[in-house]
Order: sequence, then structure tokens, then C-alpha cells
Amino acid sequence: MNRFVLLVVLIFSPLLLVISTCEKVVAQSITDTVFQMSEVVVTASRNQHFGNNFKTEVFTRDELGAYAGESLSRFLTSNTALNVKAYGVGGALANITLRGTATSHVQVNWNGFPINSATLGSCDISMIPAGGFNQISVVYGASGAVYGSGTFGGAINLDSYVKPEKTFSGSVQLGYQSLKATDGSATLHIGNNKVAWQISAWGAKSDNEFTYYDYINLNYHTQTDGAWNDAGVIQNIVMKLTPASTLEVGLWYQVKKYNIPSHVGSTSYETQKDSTLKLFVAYKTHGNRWGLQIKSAIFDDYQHYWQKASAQSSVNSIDSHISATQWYSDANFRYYIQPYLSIDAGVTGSYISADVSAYGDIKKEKGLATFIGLKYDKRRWSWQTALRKEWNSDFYSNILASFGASWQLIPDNWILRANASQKFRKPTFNDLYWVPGGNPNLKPETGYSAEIGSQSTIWKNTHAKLSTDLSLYWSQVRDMIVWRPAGAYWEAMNYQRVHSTGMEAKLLFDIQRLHRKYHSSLMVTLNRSIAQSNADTQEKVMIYSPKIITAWETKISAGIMDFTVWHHFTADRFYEDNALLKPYQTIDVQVGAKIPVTKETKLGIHATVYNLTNTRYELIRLYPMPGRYWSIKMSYTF
Amino acid sequence: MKINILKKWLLALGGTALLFTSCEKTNEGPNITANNLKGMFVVCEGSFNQANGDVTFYNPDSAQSIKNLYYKANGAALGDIVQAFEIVDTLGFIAVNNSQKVTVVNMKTFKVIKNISGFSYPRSVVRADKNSVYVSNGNGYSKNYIYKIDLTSLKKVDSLAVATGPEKLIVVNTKVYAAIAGGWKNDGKAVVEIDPSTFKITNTFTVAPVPIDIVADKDNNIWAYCKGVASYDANYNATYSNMGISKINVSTKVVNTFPLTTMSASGTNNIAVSNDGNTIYYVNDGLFAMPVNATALPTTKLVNQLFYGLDVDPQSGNIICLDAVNSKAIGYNVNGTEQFSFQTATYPNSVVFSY
Repeated sequence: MNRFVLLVVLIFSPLLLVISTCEKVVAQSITDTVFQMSEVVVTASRNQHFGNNFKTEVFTRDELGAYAGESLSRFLTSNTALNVKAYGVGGALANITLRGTATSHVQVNWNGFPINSATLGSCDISMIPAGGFNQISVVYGASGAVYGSGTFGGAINLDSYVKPEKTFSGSVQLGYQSLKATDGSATLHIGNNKVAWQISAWGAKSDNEFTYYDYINLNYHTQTDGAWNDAGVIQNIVMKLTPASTLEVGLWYQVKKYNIPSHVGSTSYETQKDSTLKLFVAYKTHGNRWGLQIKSAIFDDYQHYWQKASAQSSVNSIDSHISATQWYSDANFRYYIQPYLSIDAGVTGSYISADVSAYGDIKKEKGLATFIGLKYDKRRWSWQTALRKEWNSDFYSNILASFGASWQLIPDNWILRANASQKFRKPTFNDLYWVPGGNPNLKPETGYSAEIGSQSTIWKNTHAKLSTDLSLYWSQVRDMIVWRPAGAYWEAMNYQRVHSTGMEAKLLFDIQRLHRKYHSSLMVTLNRSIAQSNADTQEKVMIYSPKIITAWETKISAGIMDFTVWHHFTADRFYEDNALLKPYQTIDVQVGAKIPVTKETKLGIHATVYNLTNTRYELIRLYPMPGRYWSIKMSYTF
Repeated sequence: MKINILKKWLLALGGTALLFTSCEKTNEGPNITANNLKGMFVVCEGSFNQANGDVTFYNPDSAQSIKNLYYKANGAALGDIVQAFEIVDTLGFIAVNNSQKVTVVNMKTFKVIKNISGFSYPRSVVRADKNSVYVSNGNGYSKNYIYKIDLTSLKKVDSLAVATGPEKLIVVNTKVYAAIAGGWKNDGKAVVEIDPSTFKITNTFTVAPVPIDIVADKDNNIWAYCKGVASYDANYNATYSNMGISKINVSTKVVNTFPLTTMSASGTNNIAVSNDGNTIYYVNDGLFAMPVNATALPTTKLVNQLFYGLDVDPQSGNIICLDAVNSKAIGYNVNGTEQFSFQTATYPNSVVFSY
């Protein structure tokens, strides 16, 4: 398949280039060759610039703001049909998988730099505040050539960029949940034509108390040992240095402490404290037909985990400290050969160090990646091709190629898309260095993904619209790293191949008449993800990979009132080779109002009941989710 | 026209969904009836924090086995780290270590009768006398007790404080013996004798460090498998010191220790005695057999393989060795020749027999 993808790229790229430039050869002799690209286009990040042929879900601040004070885990669970794997509710560790792959196969980026854990490879999305960003996008099957390591499933981009323009806006929000949780947040955005400043701060405190059925001890148990608190701040400043250049500086600081509750059928005394300081700086400048971005970031993460043998014990039976620092720098130059044809060239450097007691000493990794990409975007036809090569201290990737194309079959009403991309993922520090079991001889995982899709408006008139999005995808991961028993210990091995195929469908229906709105969306994901060990031909279904996930949302707004219902269904899924977690469905209901106070300010009040039917379910076995609970939120926006 | 397109689209979506639904089923194994729970019960710890411990049942006559007997009988997980199992008449007592409970099952159906809570770290269960079972509990840091459970009420009725980390319990000549290993502190080196009539410690024998398993031979001598004190290097590789097999003459109170030069065993049920009580079997870097009157440890292995535990079938005399890497129980005859094997649940550590 690697060769097939490369062949597609090599054949179609020059062919498309010839076709697309042919018509312009004639026109060039007529049209003035001096042209000026808009700033927003020429300064778009590499991820944005090369993202339009990949299925992407974009969530703006308006949608994210309703979840201020809560985590991305809560937001994605409510608003998508993604496979969110949470070890409980609220402050519990939560990961995400896309398209039947693993949690380390989703790259989470902040302003273009990956914030995945260097030790684990995954990203705890319970540490990501939903209301801390202007935009969050989910890129399905994100290109390995564009993003680099760890995108077999896709990527999530957290963007904080604010534009220097005159503005004064913000919001304050307070909420309370029946789990004995309180949260609050505030956002302020101030700017003029030269400087823009945005700050988001939040805090949450929860006893995380709820009753669940302990199916091992066969009795009802009230969880009282899962208290957590979380606080943080994210701020961005953008300064217009010249009409054609900006300097952006960002900061993200957060601390969370979580008493890890005992899971079903046992009692444990575990606590974890996470803190992160992320700093980011970016310089952008552009000319009429070129753009240059130079940016750098440093992420400093610290985790302290301790476990006691008993509640009274003064000694920790386990006391683990994990400290990791990641430094990234990236430079990208874009040149528009024609207004519709651009070429990007970039280089990324990285330096990662981790101090983990289980490694024995501090481990370090240096990395360098080079990138080149070509994009054509004119009228109804858009295509792109990209190449990337990565080198790390101990291994390197092959040349990763990706190709994407979209065609407006019916302009603005029906778009077909296709893409294919080679992927790779480097082993994590834990895979390489954990004692016992880490394996310094591990190879990177390699593979590919491909997708065809259709986005169409089936029907519309002046008041209503019915639209769909359909994707079919295939992906393969080779030499997937899995921890397996090897004698008395478990060891990291390049153990298996994973084939994942699936379909994602979305149906949207919107009606608006005067002050009344009706919105309904139905999302269905179907996935079949099979793992086959390198040693034999036996196939097994990937664990925690449900075949079907559905999410249905209906929202009715009338004047200042709104009413929303969410329904989620997750099919059964394996948690071990031969053991299934039962399927479950939940219904959440929200009613609220946004009351205009002045012309520009609003007071919002929303009450939500989660899990209305009091369904008993788990996302991860032995980690119970709460039954029916409620929340009330008040917000003030200006 | 557009509505028709929508209908066709939805039909296609539904049809595609059907392709992805499956009729996958887990392997349920043969049916259990009230009369066929006679055979071997392999205690399988399961993986830590996975709550997938269980008891595997094997009928040597029919060669039928049920890998997850408790789950099959009760439709629910038994718990996290199933450590020990004792059959008392029509009841089975299962110590589930990390679920902090002792589960009582009906031995005809294996259905749960009661979960006895109030344990912090249960390790071993033994029938002490006509009216009670004892449970050893404690990891060295807290609640190091021998608990007494009344067989009529199935409740904890008394507790006996012991030194850190009590492990295996056995009954020899109406007395209960407990290995005191030290729990997570690895500082135990005693075997204590308890008189059930008074529920008090009547004798304490000093053995090699960290005794984790004990058995009795034909002369009622107690043999203790002592794992030695573990020390860890910077890379958490363990080395052991002062390990050995201690032989306690309870009459003379003399203890002889046969030092071991290496320690490769990773389980906790590492020593067993033959049916006639004349031979001690133990695991280390292999399976060894030692006559009870020997004056030195054997130098040749009966079976050259690492095992996680072993027990001796009282009916056949076969040595049942437990392979945790492959989740398998293997029966060997007294000459070390394999007789049969069967798959077990994860991390099999010991076998209990009921014929």
C-alpha cells in the first residue's frame, strides 16, 4: 500500500499540475501577472492550508463557550460520535480514539505543536479546557506528511489565535452539578488594530460523588474518594508589528489534582497531580504572494502519582514523579506561483527530555523533520500533495507522502473528496525506556490511511436546509507497539498489524423562521478494526473499539428560550480478547434561556439533566459512570 | 426527487450498518450441572486492576474444563486478584485479594451465596476447625490479622493480630500454621502455630526470610518455601538473598534451612507434598523433587521450566504445575513426564481438588 500511495502521488501530482496550469498558460498572456493574496490565506498555518481535502469538524467559540469550565472530554462526548474513553466523569483521565485506532494515534496540537505526552503518546483530554480556545477542529485521518508522528486516527487542533482588531468582549460563567461539583470561568478579549489580547481562566472543584452498582461485590456503592480540582489560565497576545507582520505569544498554565477513585470491586488510595506550563511564540510575515511563519514552543509537564497501602498509612507504597519537557521550533515558507497554486517548504526541530523514576535516568530525544507541499485550489477543483521526512535520535521515518483532492460536483452543493496518506508513529519514551519491559529495539509503527467522502446539500429553501457528509475510510497500522506478557513482566513489542475500515455519516437539518430555529443532527460511525499479531494469523477485534457509535442532537430555539436533547448509543466492545462490555445509550436534556440585558450583553441560564434514563454503563471496564445527574449554569456575555 | 434520494441514502446507510453488526459470541464452554463439580479448581489471579481473576474447573475424567467457572455460574466478574480457594463441605471460600473480600459460593452450582467484606488484603483461607475458617490478611502496613469466620453465620467473628504480612495457612494435626512473610516490607521470617481452641499463637518458628508457602509432610514436619529478601538495583532488577527451604520439626522445634542459590519463582504457591507425604516438590528455575529425609536440596530438575505455582493431585499423585505465561495447567507424573494440560484463566497460581 505504501508503494500504491506513493505511486498515486507521483503519477497524479505532475499530471494535475500540467492539467491545471495548461488553461492558465493562455490566460497568462492576457492577465496581469502581479497579484496579491489575502493575509488570512497566505498566513494560514500549514495544518489549515493543507487540511481542506480531509474530513474536518470545526467547533467555534460560540459552541465551545457553552462548555466553559468543563473539559474537552465533556464537550466531545456531548457533541460528536467520537470514541471518548474516560475513566470516570469530570476530572478522570480521558483519551480519544479515531477510526478504530489507539489513543496514541490521535495527535493533539496547540497552535500547530503536538501536546501529546512524550512518555505515553496519548493526550489526556480531561486536561484540555473546552472554553479555552477560539476554535477546536477534529481532522479525521490527518495527513502524516503534514502532521508527522502519530496521526493514524487523526488530529485535534486547538487554536487560540486572535486577530488584531477593535473589540471588547468576554464572558463569565458559573456552574454547579449534583455530583457536588462547582466550576467557573471567565474570558476577556480586548483589541485594537495593532494589538489583541485574550485571556481565559477557569477553576473547578468536585467531590465527584455518585452512587453506582458494584457488580463484583453485588451491592450499591457511593463513590466518595474521587474528589478533584482543576484551575488554569490560557492567554494569547497578538501584536501587529508592521502591516505585514505579527508577533503572537501564548501561555497555558494549569494544575489539576485528582483523587483516583477506587474502581468497581476494589479499594485503592491513589492520587495524581498534573501541572503544565506551555509557552508559545510565533512570528508571521507576508508579501503579496508569499508568507513566512517562524514559531517556537516549550511545554513543561509534571506529574506526581502516589499510592498508599491503606488510608491510614503514612508511607506511600508507590511514589512516582514524571517530568517531561518538549521544545519545538517550526519554520514554514509559502509561495504562490499562481493565485491558485502554492508551494510550502518547512522544517521542524524538536528536543524532548523526560525524567521518570522508572527509566533509571533522564532520557532525551532530538528530532528534525522537513516538509514540502503543493496545493492547487481553483474554482471547483482542489488538490494537494505533500512529502515529509523525519529523523529522531534513534530512528527515522521513510519519506511520507500524502495526496488529497476535492471536486465540487455541484458548486456549493455537492463536494466529493479523496485522500491517501502514509503514516508513522515513533515509540514513546515508556515503550523504549520503562524498566522493566521497555524495549530500546522497537521500530516505529508505519502504515497508511485512505478516504473517499461526499459532502452535499440534499435540499434547501429560504428557511430550511438538509445536508449530509459521508466518509468511507481504510487504514492500516504495521508493527503496532503492544505491551505483552514476557515471563514475569510485560514487555513492549512490535506485535501486531491493525486493519481498520469504516464509515462516518452525518445528516443535518436546519430550519429558521424569524426568531425560531430548529436544528437536528444525526451522526453515525461504523468501524471494524481487526488486529493480527505478527507471529500468527489469528485475528482479534481491537479492544475498546465499538462497531457502532451514534449521536443525535435536536435543538429548538424560540426567542430567548432553547431546548436541546442529545441521544448517544455505543455498541458492545471488547475489553479483553474474549470479553465484551455491554452496549449502552444515554439521553441528556437541556433547557435554558439567553436573556438580553443590554444591546450587547446577555444573561444565560441553562439546566441540564445528564443520563436521563439513569443508564448503568462504563466507558472503561471497572470505572463506573454516574447515573442520572444534573447541572445548572449561569453565564454573562458582553 | 430529492426526498427519494434521501430515502435511498438512508436505506444504504441502514444496509451498511447491518454489515457491521456481528453475531460474535464468547466461548461459553460446557454446561455445569449440580453433579459434575468434581475435579480440579485452578485459582487464577487475573491481571492486577483488571478484575479478571476467576477459578478454572477441570474434570480429569472427561477432560472438560470451564475456564471462567465463577463468571459462567454467576454472570459477573469474581474480582481483582483471586488469591486462594478453600472447599468446606458444600461451601467454597474464595479470597479475592484486591477486591478486599472473601466470596462464598455453593459448591454444587458455584453460585455466590455471600460476599464477606471487611478485609484489606486477604491472602489465604483454611478450615481451622468444625465451626470456622481462618483468613490471613495484611500487607505489612496495616491490619495484619488472622480473621475467624463463623461457618454458620458466614461473618467475621474474631481477629488475631499477627506480625507483618501473613500468607499461607495450613492445618496440621488440629493446629493452624501461618507463614509470616512480611508483606510489602519483605521482613518476615516466621511460621506461627495457632491453637483453634483458644485462637491464640502457641508457637513461633524462625525460618529463612520471607516464607510465602508452607506444606506438611508425612511426619507432620512443616516445610516453608522462603523467597529471601529482595533488593532492587537502579533499573528495578531484583536480586534475592538468604532464600531457602526451611524444615520445621514442630515436636523438637528445630528448624533446618536448605539454602537456595538462586530465586526465579514469581508466584506464591511454590511448594507441595506428594500423596504419601514422602516427597517435597518445589519450583524455582524448574520443578524439583526432594525426599523428606534428604539432607541436601536436589541438583537435577524434574521438569526444566519456570512455573507460577504447583499442587499435587491427591487422587492420581500427579504434580499439577501452573504456567502463567501461557495460562496453562500441566499435569506431570512423579517422573516428570507430562500427562495432560488444559488452558486456564490468567495467572493460575494454585489448585484445589474435590473428588
